Amino acid sequence: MDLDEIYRSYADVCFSVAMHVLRAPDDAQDCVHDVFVRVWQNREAYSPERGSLRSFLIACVRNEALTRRRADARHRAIEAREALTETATEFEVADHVERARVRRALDTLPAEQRRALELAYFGGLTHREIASALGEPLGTIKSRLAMALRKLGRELGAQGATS
Amino acid sequence: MSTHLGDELELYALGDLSPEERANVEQHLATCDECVRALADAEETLAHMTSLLPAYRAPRRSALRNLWTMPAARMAIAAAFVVGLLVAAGTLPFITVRPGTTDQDARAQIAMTHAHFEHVQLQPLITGAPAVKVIYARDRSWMYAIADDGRPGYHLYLTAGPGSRQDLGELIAHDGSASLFVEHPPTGNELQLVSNDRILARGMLP
Repeated sequence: MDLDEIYRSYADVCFSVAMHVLRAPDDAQDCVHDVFVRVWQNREAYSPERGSLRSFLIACVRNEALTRRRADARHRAIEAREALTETATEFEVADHVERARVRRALDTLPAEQRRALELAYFGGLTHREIASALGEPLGTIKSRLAMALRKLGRELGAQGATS
Repeated sequence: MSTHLGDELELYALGDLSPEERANVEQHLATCDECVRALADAEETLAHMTSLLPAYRAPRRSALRNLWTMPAARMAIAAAFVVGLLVAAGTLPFITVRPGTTDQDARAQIAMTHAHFEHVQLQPLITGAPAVKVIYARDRSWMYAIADDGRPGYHLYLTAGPGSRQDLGELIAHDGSASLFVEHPPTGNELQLVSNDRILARGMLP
Protein backbone atom coordinates (compact mmCIF):
# COMPACT_ATOMS: atom_id res chain seq x y z
CA MET A 1 0.00 0.00 0.00
CA ASP A 2 1.54 3.33 -0.98
CA LEU A 3 0.96 6.70 0.64
CA ASP A 4 -1.66 7.76 -1.91
CA GLU A 5 -3.65 4.58 -1.34
CA ILE A 6 -3.45 4.97 2.42
CA TYR A 7 -4.58 8.56 2.10
CA ARG A 8 -7.51 7.61 -0.11
CA SER A 9 -8.55 4.89 2.33
CA TYR A 10 -8.27 6.72 5.63
CA ALA A 11 -8.09 10.46 5.04
CA ASP A 12 -11.81 11.11 5.42
CA VAL A 13 -12.15 9.49 8.82
CA CYS A 14 -8.89 11.02 10.04
CA PHE A 15 -9.89 14.44 8.76
CA SER A 16 -13.24 14.12 10.56
CA VAL A 17 -11.46 13.26 13.80
CA ALA A 18 -9.10 16.22 13.39
CA MET A 19 -12.01 18.50 12.54
CA HIS A 20 -13.80 17.43 15.68
CA VAL A 21 -10.83 18.44 17.80
CA LEU A 22 -9.49 21.46 15.93
CA ARG A 23 -12.71 22.81 14.33
CA ALA A 24 -10.85 24.57 11.54
CA PRO A 25 -10.51 22.81 8.16
CA ASP A 26 -7.06 24.20 7.39
CA ASP A 27 -5.70 23.14 10.75
CA ALA A 28 -7.33 19.73 10.46
CA GLN A 29 -5.86 19.24 7.02
CA ASP A 30 -2.40 20.25 8.16
CA CYS A 31 -2.67 17.90 11.10
CA VAL A 32 -3.74 14.95 8.96
CA HIS A 33 -1.09 15.63 6.36
CA ASP A 34 1.67 15.91 8.91
CA VAL A 35 0.64 12.68 10.65
CA PHE A 36 0.34 10.72 7.41
CA VAL A 37 3.72 11.89 6.22
CA ARG A 38 5.30 11.15 9.60
CA VAL A 39 3.77 7.69 9.75
CA TRP A 40 4.84 7.01 6.18
CA GLN A 41 8.38 8.14 6.82
CA ASN A 42 8.55 5.86 9.87
CA ARG A 43 6.46 3.05 8.43
CA GLU A 44 8.90 0.38 9.57
CA ALA A 45 7.87 1.27 13.12
CA TYR A 46 4.31 0.12 12.50
CA SER A 47 3.45 -3.55 12.81
CA PRO A 48 0.12 -5.40 12.74
CA GLU A 49 0.49 -6.10 16.48
CA ARG A 50 -0.02 -2.39 16.92
CA GLY A 51 -3.61 -2.85 15.72
CA SER A 52 -5.27 -2.08 12.42
CA LEU A 53 -3.67 0.66 10.36
CA ARG A 54 -6.99 2.50 10.44
CA SER A 55 -7.24 2.66 14.22
CA PHE A 56 -3.53 3.40 14.48
CA LEU A 57 -3.82 6.39 12.14
CA ILE A 58 -6.95 7.63 13.88
CA ALA A 59 -5.18 7.46 17.23
CA CYS A 60 -2.15 9.28 15.85
CA VAL A 61 -4.27 12.01 14.29
CA ARG A 62 -6.42 12.47 17.37
CA ASN A 63 -3.41 12.72 19.67
CA GLU A 64 -1.68 15.14 17.33
CA ALA A 65 -4.83 17.24 17.09
CA LEU A 66 -5.23 17.30 20.88
CA THR A 67 -1.60 18.32 21.27
CA ARG A 68 -2.00 21.14 18.76
CA ARG A 69 -5.20 22.37 20.34
CA ARG A 70 -3.71 22.43 23.81
CA ALA A 71 -0.60 24.17 22.55
CA ASP A 72 -2.65 26.98 21.10
CA ALA A 73 -5.89 26.83 23.01
CA ARG A 74 -6.58 30.53 23.13
CA HIS A 75 -6.00 31.04 19.43
CA ARG A 76 -8.24 28.11 18.57
CA ALA A 77 -11.03 29.35 20.79
CA ILE A 78 -11.12 32.62 18.92
CA GLU A 79 -11.20 31.04 15.51
CA ALA A 80 -13.21 27.90 16.13
CA ARG A 81 -16.80 28.87 15.65
CA GLU A 82 -16.24 31.07 12.63
CA ALA A 83 -14.03 28.56 10.87
CA LEU A 84 -16.43 25.70 11.39
CA THR A 85 -19.54 27.51 10.30
CA GLU A 86 -17.97 29.20 7.31
CA THR A 87 -15.94 26.57 5.65
CA ALA A 88 -16.59 23.02 6.76
CA THR A 89 -18.57 20.75 4.51
CA GLU A 90 -20.20 17.89 6.33
CA PHE A 91 -21.41 14.91 4.42
CA GLU A 92 -23.84 12.20 5.29
CA VAL A 93 -22.37 9.14 6.89
CA ALA A 94 -23.21 6.02 4.98
CA ASP A 95 -22.49 3.48 7.67
CA HIS A 96 -25.65 3.69 9.74
CA VAL A 97 -25.20 0.11 10.87
CA GLU A 98 -21.88 0.92 12.51
CA ARG A 99 -23.33 4.01 14.17
CA ALA A 100 -26.23 2.04 15.60
CA ARG A 101 -23.87 -0.66 16.83
CA VAL A 102 -21.66 1.85 18.65
CA ARG A 103 -24.69 3.61 20.13
CA ARG A 104 -26.03 0.31 21.44
CA ALA A 105 -22.66 -0.47 22.99
CA LEU A 106 -22.48 2.96 24.61
CA ASP A 107 -25.96 2.43 26.02
CA THR A 108 -24.76 -0.60 27.93
CA LEU A 109 -22.31 1.50 29.97
CA PRO A 110 -23.30 2.66 33.44
CA ALA A 111 -24.58 6.22 33.15
CA GLU A 112 -21.63 7.78 34.98
CA GLN A 113 -19.11 5.96 32.79
CA ARG A 114 -20.91 6.87 29.62
CA ARG A 115 -21.14 10.51 30.68
CA ALA A 116 -17.44 10.73 31.44
CA LEU A 117 -16.48 9.06 28.16
CA GLU A 118 -18.79 11.28 26.14
CA LEU A 119 -17.40 14.41 27.78
CA ALA A 120 -13.86 13.26 27.04
CA TYR A 121 -14.36 12.02 23.51
CA PHE A 122 -17.17 14.07 22.05
CA GLY A 123 -16.92 17.10 24.35
CA GLY A 124 -13.15 17.28 24.16
CA LEU A 125 -12.84 17.99 27.86
CA THR A 126 -9.67 17.13 29.73
CA HIS A 127 -9.93 14.70 32.61
CA ARG A 128 -9.48 17.57 35.02
CA GLU A 129 -12.29 19.51 33.34
CA ILE A 130 -14.58 16.50 33.54
CA ALA A 131 -13.81 16.12 37.23
CA SER A 132 -14.65 19.76 37.75
CA ALA A 133 -17.83 19.59 35.67
CA LEU A 134 -19.11 16.50 37.46
CA GLY A 135 -17.86 17.47 40.91
CA GLU A 136 -15.88 14.25 41.27
CA PRO A 137 -12.26 13.60 42.26
CA LEU A 138 -9.82 13.45 39.35
CA GLY A 139 -8.80 9.91 40.23
CA THR A 140 -12.41 8.76 40.12
CA ILE A 141 -12.85 10.24 36.66
CA LYS A 142 -9.70 8.58 35.39
CA SER A 143 -10.79 5.19 36.69
CA ARG A 144 -14.24 5.69 35.27
CA LEU A 145 -12.89 6.57 31.84
CA ALA A 146 -10.59 3.57 31.77
CA MET A 147 -13.39 1.23 32.84
CA ALA A 148 -15.75 2.77 30.30
CA LEU A 149 -13.31 2.25 27.47
CA ARG A 150 -12.61 -1.36 28.45
CA LYS A 151 -16.30 -2.18 28.79
CA LEU A 152 -17.14 -0.48 25.52
CA GLY A 153 -14.46 -2.53 23.79
CA ARG A 154 -15.87 -5.75 25.23
CA GLU A 155 -19.40 -4.78 24.19
CA LEU A 156 -18.34 -3.94 20.66
CA GLY A 157 -16.47 -7.21 20.47
CA ALA A 158 -19.48 -9.12 21.71
CA GLN A 159 -21.84 -7.34 19.32
CA GLY A 160 -19.44 -7.92 16.48
CA ALA A 161 -19.34 -11.61 17.33
CA THR A 162 -23.11 -11.94 17.44
CA SER A 163 -24.16 -9.64 14.61
CA MET B 1 7.42 -7.94 32.19
CA SER B 2 5.65 -8.78 35.43
CA THR B 3 3.61 -5.60 35.88
CA HIS B 4 1.38 -4.38 33.12
CA LEU B 5 -0.12 -0.99 32.60
CA GLY B 6 -3.40 -0.32 34.36
CA ASP B 7 -5.81 2.51 33.76
CA GLU B 8 -3.04 4.62 32.28
CA LEU B 9 -3.18 2.48 29.17
CA GLU B 10 -6.74 3.57 28.37
CA LEU B 11 -5.95 7.11 29.48
CA TYR B 12 -3.00 7.09 27.11
CA ALA B 13 -5.31 6.02 24.29
CA LEU B 14 -7.67 8.85 25.18
CA GLY B 15 -4.77 11.27 24.82
CA ASP B 16 -4.91 13.19 28.07
CA LEU B 17 -1.78 12.22 29.96
CA SER B 18 0.97 14.63 30.91
CA PRO B 19 4.20 14.43 28.90
CA GLU B 20 5.84 12.61 31.81
CA GLU B 21 3.00 10.10 32.09
CA ARG B 22 3.07 9.54 28.34
CA ALA B 23 6.80 8.94 28.44
CA ASN B 24 6.37 6.35 31.21
CA VAL B 25 3.67 4.55 29.25
CA GLU B 26 5.75 4.57 26.09
CA GLN B 27 8.77 3.29 27.98
CA HIS B 28 6.71 0.34 29.16
CA LEU B 29 5.17 -0.25 25.74
CA ALA B 30 8.62 -0.52 24.24
CA THR B 31 9.19 -3.69 26.23
CA CYS B 32 5.73 -5.22 26.65
CA ASP B 33 3.93 -6.81 23.72
CA GLU B 34 0.89 -7.61 25.81
CA CYS B 35 0.30 -3.96 26.66
CA VAL B 36 0.91 -3.00 23.03
CA ARG B 37 -1.91 -5.35 22.04
CA ALA B 38 -4.13 -3.95 24.80
CA LEU B 39 -3.41 -0.44 23.56
CA ALA B 40 -4.31 -1.53 20.05
CA ASP B 41 -7.63 -2.81 21.39
CA ALA B 42 -8.31 0.49 23.17
CA GLU B 43 -7.49 2.44 20.02
CA GLU B 44 -9.72 0.14 17.98
CA THR B 45 -12.56 0.92 20.38
CA LEU B 46 -11.97 4.64 20.01
CA ALA B 47 -11.81 4.23 16.25
CA HIS B 48 -15.31 2.75 16.36
CA MET B 49 -16.48 5.87 18.16
CA THR B 50 -15.48 8.00 15.19
CA SER B 51 -18.62 6.70 13.46
CA LEU B 52 -20.62 8.95 15.79
CA LEU B 53 -18.66 12.08 14.89
CA PRO B 54 -19.79 14.44 12.16
CA ALA B 55 -18.05 13.26 9.01
CA TYR B 56 -16.11 15.52 6.69
CA ARG B 57 -14.52 14.78 3.37
CA ALA B 58 -10.78 15.33 3.41
CA PRO B 59 -9.27 17.48 0.69
CA ARG B 60 -7.82 15.37 -2.06
CA ARG B 61 -4.13 15.13 -1.75
CA SER B 62 -2.45 14.56 -5.07
CA ALA B 63 -2.31 18.09 -6.36
CA LEU B 64 -1.10 19.51 -3.08
CA ARG B 65 1.90 17.24 -3.20
CA ASN B 66 4.38 20.08 -3.34
CA LEU B 67 3.03 21.52 -0.14
CA TRP B 68 2.75 18.09 1.37
CA THR B 69 6.29 17.17 0.83
CA MET B 70 7.64 20.51 1.94
CA PRO B 71 8.47 19.92 5.60
CA ALA B 72 6.71 22.26 7.96
CA ALA B 73 10.06 23.45 9.21
CA ARG B 74 11.11 24.55 5.75
CA MET B 75 7.82 26.36 5.30
CA ALA B 76 8.38 28.11 8.61
CA ILE B 77 11.92 29.07 7.71
CA ALA B 78 10.74 30.39 4.38
CA ALA B 79 8.08 32.43 6.09
CA ALA B 80 10.60 33.76 8.54
CA PHE B 81 12.63 35.41 5.83
CA VAL B 82 10.89 38.68 6.33
CA VAL B 83 12.45 40.90 3.79
CA GLY B 84 9.19 42.39 2.67
CA LEU B 85 8.00 42.02 -0.85
CA LEU B 86 8.60 44.60 -3.52
CA VAL B 87 5.24 46.20 -3.46
CA ALA B 88 4.47 49.14 -5.65
CA ALA B 89 2.23 50.93 -3.16
CA GLY B 90 -0.91 49.39 -4.54
CA THR B 91 -0.92 51.53 -7.63
CA LEU B 92 -0.01 48.83 -10.09
CA PRO B 93 -2.78 46.88 -11.79
CA PHE B 94 -2.86 43.26 -10.82
CA ILE B 95 -0.71 41.11 -12.99
CA THR B 96 -1.35 37.49 -13.73
CA VAL B 97 1.97 35.83 -14.35
CA ARG B 98 1.66 33.22 -17.05
CA PRO B 99 4.94 33.04 -18.92
CA GLY B 100 5.00 29.31 -18.31
CA THR B 101 4.16 26.94 -15.56
CA THR B 102 7.64 26.35 -14.29
CA ASP B 103 8.43 30.02 -14.18
CA GLN B 104 5.16 30.80 -12.49
CA ASP B 105 5.63 28.22 -9.77
CA ALA B 106 9.24 29.27 -9.32
CA ARG B 107 8.17 32.87 -8.86
CA ALA B 108 5.61 31.77 -6.31
CA GLN B 109 8.24 29.86 -4.37
CA ILE B 110 10.60 32.83 -4.45
CA ALA B 111 7.77 35.09 -3.28
CA MET B 112 7.09 32.72 -0.39
CA THR B 113 10.69 32.89 0.72
CA HIS B 114 10.54 36.66 0.88
CA ALA B 115 7.29 37.30 2.68
CA HIS B 116 5.10 36.23 5.52
CA PHE B 117 2.22 34.34 4.03
CA GLU B 118 -1.04 32.71 5.03
CA HIS B 119 -3.25 30.25 3.26
CA VAL B 120 -6.92 29.50 2.89
CA GLN B 121 -8.52 26.27 1.76
CA LEU B 122 -11.43 26.88 -0.58
CA GLN B 123 -14.44 24.86 0.45
CA PRO B 124 -16.22 22.87 -2.25
CA LEU B 125 -19.78 23.86 -3.05
CA ILE B 126 -20.46 20.90 -5.30
CA THR B 127 -19.46 17.26 -5.30
CA GLY B 128 -16.35 16.67 -7.36
CA ALA B 129 -14.97 20.18 -7.01
CA PRO B 130 -11.18 20.16 -6.94
CA ALA B 131 -9.36 20.83 -3.72
CA VAL B 132 -7.92 24.34 -3.91
CA LYS B 133 -5.52 26.05 -1.59
CA VAL B 134 -4.69 29.74 -1.99
CA ILE B 135 -1.50 30.99 -0.42
CA TYR B 136 -1.26 34.75 -0.08
CA ALA B 137 1.19 37.29 1.26
CA ARG B 138 0.05 38.93 4.44
CA ASP B 139 0.43 42.27 2.74
CA ARG B 140 -1.71 40.88 -0.12
CA SER B 141 0.96 41.67 -2.67
CA TRP B 142 0.54 38.24 -4.28
CA MET B 143 -1.60 35.14 -4.29
CA TYR B 144 -0.79 31.62 -5.38
CA ALA B 145 -3.60 29.16 -6.02
CA ILE B 146 -3.10 25.42 -6.38
CA ALA B 147 -5.81 22.96 -7.41
CA ASP B 148 -5.62 19.19 -7.43
CA ASP B 149 -7.17 18.89 -10.85
CA GLY B 150 -5.28 19.30 -14.11
CA ARG B 151 -8.28 20.09 -16.28
CA PRO B 152 -8.35 23.47 -18.01
CA GLY B 153 -10.99 26.12 -17.47
CA TYR B 154 -10.68 26.85 -13.76
CA HIS B 155 -10.65 30.57 -13.00
CA LEU B 156 -9.89 32.25 -9.72
CA TYR B 157 -12.14 35.18 -8.88
CA LEU B 158 -11.86 37.72 -6.10
CA THR B 159 -14.90 39.64 -4.94
CA ALA B 160 -15.26 42.70 -2.77
CA GLY B 161 -19.05 42.77 -2.69
CA PRO B 162 -21.93 42.66 -5.14
CA GLY B 163 -20.89 43.58 -8.67
CA SER B 164 -17.20 43.79 -7.90
CA ARG B 165 -16.03 40.33 -8.89
CA GLN B 166 -12.76 40.20 -10.78
CA ASP B 167 -11.30 37.30 -12.71
CA LEU B 168 -7.69 36.92 -11.58
CA GLY B 169 -7.00 34.45 -14.36
CA GLU B 170 -7.21 30.85 -15.40
CA LEU B 171 -5.27 28.25 -13.46
CA ILE B 172 -2.55 26.74 -15.58
CA ALA B 173 -2.83 22.95 -15.75
CA HIS B 174 0.20 20.74 -15.41
CA ASP B 175 0.88 17.21 -14.20
CA GLY B 176 -2.56 16.55 -12.80
CA SER B 177 -2.80 19.84 -10.97
CA ALA B 178 -3.25 23.49 -11.83
CA SER B 179 -1.90 26.69 -10.37
CA LEU B 180 -2.02 30.43 -10.73
CA PHE B 181 0.32 33.08 -9.38
CA VAL B 182 -1.08 36.61 -9.22
CA GLU B 183 0.89 39.68 -8.32
CA HIS B 184 -0.84 42.74 -6.95
CA PRO B 185 -4.35 41.32 -6.84
CA PRO B 186 -7.22 43.76 -6.41
CA THR B 187 -8.86 44.29 -3.05
CA GLY B 188 -11.40 41.67 -2.10
CA ASN B 189 -12.39 39.27 0.60
CA GLU B 190 -13.94 36.26 -1.08
CA LEU B 191 -12.09 33.89 -3.36
CA GLN B 192 -14.05 31.77 -5.79
CA LEU B 193 -13.06 28.95 -8.08
CA VAL B 194 -15.21 29.25 -11.17
CA SER B 195 -15.63 27.01 -14.20
CA ASN B 196 -18.15 27.69 -16.98
CA ASP B 197 -19.66 30.49 -14.89
CA ARG B 198 -20.32 28.11 -12.06
CA ILE B 199 -18.81 28.67 -8.62
CA LEU B 200 -17.24 25.37 -7.58
CA ALA B 201 -15.56 26.39 -4.34
CA ARG B 202 -14.99 29.45 -2.29
CA GLY B 203 -13.16 30.76 0.73
CA MET B 204 -12.95 33.92 2.75
CA LEU B 205 -9.89 36.04 3.27
CA PRO B 206 -9.63 37.55 6.72
